[in-house]
Amino acid sequence: MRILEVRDLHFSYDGLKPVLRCVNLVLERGEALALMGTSGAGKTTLLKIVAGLLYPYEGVVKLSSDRVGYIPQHFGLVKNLTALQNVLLGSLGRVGKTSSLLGRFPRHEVERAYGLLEAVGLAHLSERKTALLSGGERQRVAVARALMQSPSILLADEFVADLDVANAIDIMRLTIDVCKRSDIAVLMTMHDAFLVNRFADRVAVLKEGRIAAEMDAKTVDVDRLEAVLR
Amino acid sequence: MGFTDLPRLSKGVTNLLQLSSELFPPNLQDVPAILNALFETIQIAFVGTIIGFILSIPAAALALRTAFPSYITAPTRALLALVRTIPALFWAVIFVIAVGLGPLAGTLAVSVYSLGYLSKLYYEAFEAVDQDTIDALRCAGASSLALVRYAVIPESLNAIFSQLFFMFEYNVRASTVLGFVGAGGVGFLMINYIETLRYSSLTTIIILTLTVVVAVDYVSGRLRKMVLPEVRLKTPTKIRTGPMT
Repeated sequence: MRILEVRDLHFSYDGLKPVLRCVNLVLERGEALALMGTSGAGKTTLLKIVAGLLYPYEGVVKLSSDRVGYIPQHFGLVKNLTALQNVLLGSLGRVGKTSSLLGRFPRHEVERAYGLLEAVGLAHLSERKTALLSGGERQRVAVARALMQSPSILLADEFVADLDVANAIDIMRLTIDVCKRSDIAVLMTMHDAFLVNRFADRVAVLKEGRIAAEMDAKTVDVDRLEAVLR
Repeated sequence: MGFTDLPRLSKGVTNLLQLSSELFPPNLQDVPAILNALFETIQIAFVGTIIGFILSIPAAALALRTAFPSYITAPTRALLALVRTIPALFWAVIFVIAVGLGPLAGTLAVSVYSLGYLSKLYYEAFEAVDQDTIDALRCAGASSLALVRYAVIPESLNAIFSQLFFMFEYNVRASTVLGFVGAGGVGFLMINYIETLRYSSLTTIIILTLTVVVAVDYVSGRLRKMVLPEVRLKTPTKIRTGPMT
């Protein structure tokens, strides 16, 4: 079942220089699609348009669900709040406005947030401010917050780019496992061909704002990518 | 400019010497009255700063371009700019006319003045909050108010407290002259001593005001250190140079 459909998408920040040109993309439930390409190719912009943070200049973006989880490049955590409070913020769309403004989250939401922290291996750090967590721990909090939204699609922007290989593999495995189990589609921007090969189902390569190639992630290797990007 | 008017200049020097001789010794009989007036000045500054602070947080939030549309932010910013354009002393005159002589007029003047300045300092600090954080919470379904409550204010806490302490220190100094226009505090005594040529009492007031201002700066600095995290730089170890053994 299709979760995302992008048709003839054009985008420009200033109305002059095109950032995305005639992008077409589909994503099925439970599928993990990696967006690759050089810096400035338009990967983050495409993700932000799908997230509803930017409006398309031309073209159509259709989502079959409005539950969109988003993990920004630098995690987007509130550093002065604890890990548990950050994860709870993923429920803001469900909790009543007044209750959330007063800081009163329903007990079942608090229990769920704690459960997600447990699932990402951070239950013991639930009361620690995220400013005091390591890069890998912050990343896990960001994943837990996105999952707290009960998303149908998870958008992740180079979310393991700042981590060492061991941590990156751990977090990718954790995220993809949870998403596969819950039938959550994943659209992620990536640079690392090894991680893409191991964890994605499909790859779309963006070059100068266009989809230059789409391929099975298992067939991706550095030589093939270089051939597309050169 | 009158600099060539030597007789007038020499009379000025004589007047200054005369004034200097009348300034000393300080008149200690007025100390209790001056301390009372100084206490009132600090009260005006404290209460005015707190009221201005309480009003400035929602005002700064409404001026926040990353959370609210321009039809809310533009008029809010214009109104705050207007408030800042008017000096504290002029606000004091306005409130003396509105509510009469005394510390209430001074407190209201300090409140409005603080509102104008703190709001601007705060919305600039609020706008520096990481866009990634705002984006992530927007995607989570956060309303504009929830964004302010959960992202903007927690991420700006250091700036909020730092500017608040600075504003209080500034307001203590500013409040000493509000009495010139009848808005309460030590300024009223100051102008009274000047008009009645009691210069030795004026010296007492200046010495005590200076002492209180320095004490307030010190206490405020200590409080700031208690509230705000401090970056402690370790003294670097000196690198030893010399022949290798």
